[in-house]
Amino acid sequence: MFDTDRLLVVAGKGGVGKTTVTAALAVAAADMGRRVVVVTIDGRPGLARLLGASEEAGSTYEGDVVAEGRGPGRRGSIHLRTISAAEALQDYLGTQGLARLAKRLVSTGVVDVVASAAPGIDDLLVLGKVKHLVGLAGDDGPHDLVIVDGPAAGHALSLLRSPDAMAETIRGGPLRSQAIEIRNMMRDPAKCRVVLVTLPETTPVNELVETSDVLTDEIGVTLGPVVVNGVDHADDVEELVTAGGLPEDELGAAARFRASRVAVHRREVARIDEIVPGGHLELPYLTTGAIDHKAVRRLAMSIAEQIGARS
Amino acid sequence: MKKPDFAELVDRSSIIVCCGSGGVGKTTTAAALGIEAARRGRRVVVITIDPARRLADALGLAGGLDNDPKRIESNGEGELWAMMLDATRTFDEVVREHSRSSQQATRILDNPFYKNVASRLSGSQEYMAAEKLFALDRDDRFDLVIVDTPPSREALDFLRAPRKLTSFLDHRVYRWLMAPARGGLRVLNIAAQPILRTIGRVIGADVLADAIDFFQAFEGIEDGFRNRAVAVEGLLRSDRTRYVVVASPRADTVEEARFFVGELDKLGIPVSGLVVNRLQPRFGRGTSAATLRESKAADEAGERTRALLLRNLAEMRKVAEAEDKTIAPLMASAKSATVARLYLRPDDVHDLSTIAELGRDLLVGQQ
Repeated sequence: MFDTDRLLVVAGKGGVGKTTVTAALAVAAADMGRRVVVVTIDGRPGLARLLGASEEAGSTYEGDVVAEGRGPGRRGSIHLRTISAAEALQDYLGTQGLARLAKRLVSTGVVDVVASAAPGIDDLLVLGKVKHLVGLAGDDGPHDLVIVDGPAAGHALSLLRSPDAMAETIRGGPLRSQAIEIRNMMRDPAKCRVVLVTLPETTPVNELVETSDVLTDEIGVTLGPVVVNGVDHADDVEELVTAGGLPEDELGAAARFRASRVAVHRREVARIDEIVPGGHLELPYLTTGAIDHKAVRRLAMSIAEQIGARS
Repeated sequence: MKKPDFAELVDRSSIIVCCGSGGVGKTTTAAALGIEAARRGRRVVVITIDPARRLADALGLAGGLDNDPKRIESNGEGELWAMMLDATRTFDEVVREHSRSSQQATRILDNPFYKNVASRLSGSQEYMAAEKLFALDRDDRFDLVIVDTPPSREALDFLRAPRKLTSFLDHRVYRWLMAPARGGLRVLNIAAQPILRTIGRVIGADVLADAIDFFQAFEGIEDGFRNRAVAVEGLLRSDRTRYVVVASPRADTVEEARFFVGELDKLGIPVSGLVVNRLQPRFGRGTSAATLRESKAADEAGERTRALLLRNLAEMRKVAEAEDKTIAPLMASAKSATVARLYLRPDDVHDLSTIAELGRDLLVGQQ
C-alpha cells in the first residue's frame, strides 16, 4: 500500500466516515515518506480541518501544502487541492482553443445545454484533471501519490462510470479520446485502486457488496483493501458479559449493550473478508468524542501499523 | 402554538418527505413511519428513489420492489404498500401520456439523446420521483404517501426538479434550437450555425444532432410537461406535504441536515419532524469524567470487574456527550420541528418487527 500506488480513490456511502478515512490515509502515507496530493471534488468542508489546517486551506485547484510528514527524512507532505466541475469544464473549453468563447458560453447558458446534451461531461472533465495530476506523479515529479476524496453516496459510482458512458455516447472527437485515456488509467491496477470505506454494520456491508461488484465487474477498476471504520474491540467487556453474573443496573446494561455491538462488528468484519478479496484495514472505534486532527493522527498510526504488519 | 407531534404527522399528512444524508437510517425511518401509519388505520404507500435495495431489505422483501406498489402485510386497520421508483420507466410513461400521437412518443423514446437524459440527466430521477408522488397522491388506493429521498443535496433537486425542467424548456438556447422547427424549417443545418459548430466540436456532431432531433420531437408536448411541473411543484410546497429531516449524530450528517433545514427555510417550508437516529443508548445519569474517576477508584481498591464496568460506562457516556454536542446546532436550527431521538439497538435493525418497534419509538421518543 502507498509504495507503488499512483491514485487511490476513496469511496463509500454517506455517514461511513469517508472523509475521516481519506485524511487518515493521507497522514499515514505522508508519515511513510510519500508526497501526497489530496483532491476533494467540489470542496466538501471538513477535510482541511481534519488534516490540521484552517477551514479554508486547499479550497482551490492550486491548493495548499497543509502538512509535512513525520516519517524518516521528513520527505512526506500533504498538498490539498479542490477540483470544481464548472472550472474543469471552462478549462477544457480553453484547451480546445475556445478560451475566449468559454466565458461567453458559460454566461449565456450554452454550457448548461452542453452538459445536458452529454450528461456526465462534468464528471469526465473532473477525472481529466485528476488524470493530469496522476501523470505528474513519480520520483521525479512534484508528488508521489494522489488520493481522491470521492463524492458521497451513489454519485461516486456515476463519477467513475462517466469515462465508459462518455466513450459510448460520443462517437468521435477529443472528448472521446479523453474518455478512453481516463478509462485506461482507471483500469490499470498499477496506477489506480479504489479504496471502499464501510462500517462494520449490516446495511453498510450489504451495500459494500453491491458497490464492489459494480466497481470490479462493470467499471473494471481494481479494489484496494476495504477500510472498515469504527471497529469496536472492547473484548474485555465482552468477556465479562459472557462470564455472566453482571449486575442488573446501568453498569450491567451498558456492558451488555457494548458486548452485543462488539459481536455485530466481529460478525460483519468476517463477512467482509469472506466477500471481498484483498483484505481489509481497520480503524478503531474511538471513545474520545468528536473526530478532530488528533484523532486522525491516531487513526493514521493504526493504518501505518497494519500496513507494516502486512508487508 | 403547539408543535405537531409524530402521531399527528402520520394521522393528518397526505405526503411525508423524508430527507437526510446517506447512512442515517432514512429508509428505515420512512418504513417505520409507514408501518405505524398503517397500524393507525391509514392506507399508506412508501416510495424509495434510492437505487439501492434498502427499502426492500428493510421491509424484508427478498423479491425486491419495482415501479408498481406492492402490498405488505401489516397490523391494524390500514394498509401498507411499498414501491421502488424506476425513473426511466416513469419518464417513458410521462412522455407517452403527454405525446399527441404514438409516432411522436416513439420518436422521442427511441432517440439516443432522450435515453441519456432519462437515465442520467442530473435531477431527472428526482423529477420522476416527484411525478410518481403526484400520481400516487391522486391514486384512490392510498391516503398517505411517504417518500424516502436520496441523500439530501439531491433531495433538494427533488424539490427543484420540476422548476429545473420548466426552466430548461424556457431556456433561450433551447428556444433558439426549437426555432427552425417552429418556423417550418424541419432540417437544421448544423454546419451553418457557428455556435452549433462550436458545441458540436466539444461534444461531437452526432450527439448534437440527436439532441436537436430530440428537442424538435418534443415540440408540442412541452406545454403538458410545463403544466404538470407547475402542479407537482405546487403540491410539494403545499401544506399537504410535510418534511421530516433525518440525521445521525455525526458531524457530516448533521451538517447536511442543517443545510437541508436551511434550504427548506429559504423556500418558506417549515420542517415538521426531526429524527436523530443511531444515537448510542444512554445508561443512567452522570458525566463521563465522574464515572472515570469512580473507575479509577475501584481499580485502586482492587475491584477489577467493577473498575472495568465503570470504565466501559465512562466511555459510553463520553460518546453520548460528544453526540449531544454534535447535534446541538441542528436542534437549534430546526425549532419548528418535533424531535424524536432513536437509539442504536443491540443488533442491527433489518426485519419488519424491529422496524415496527422503531415506529412506535418514533411516536413516543419525541421530546
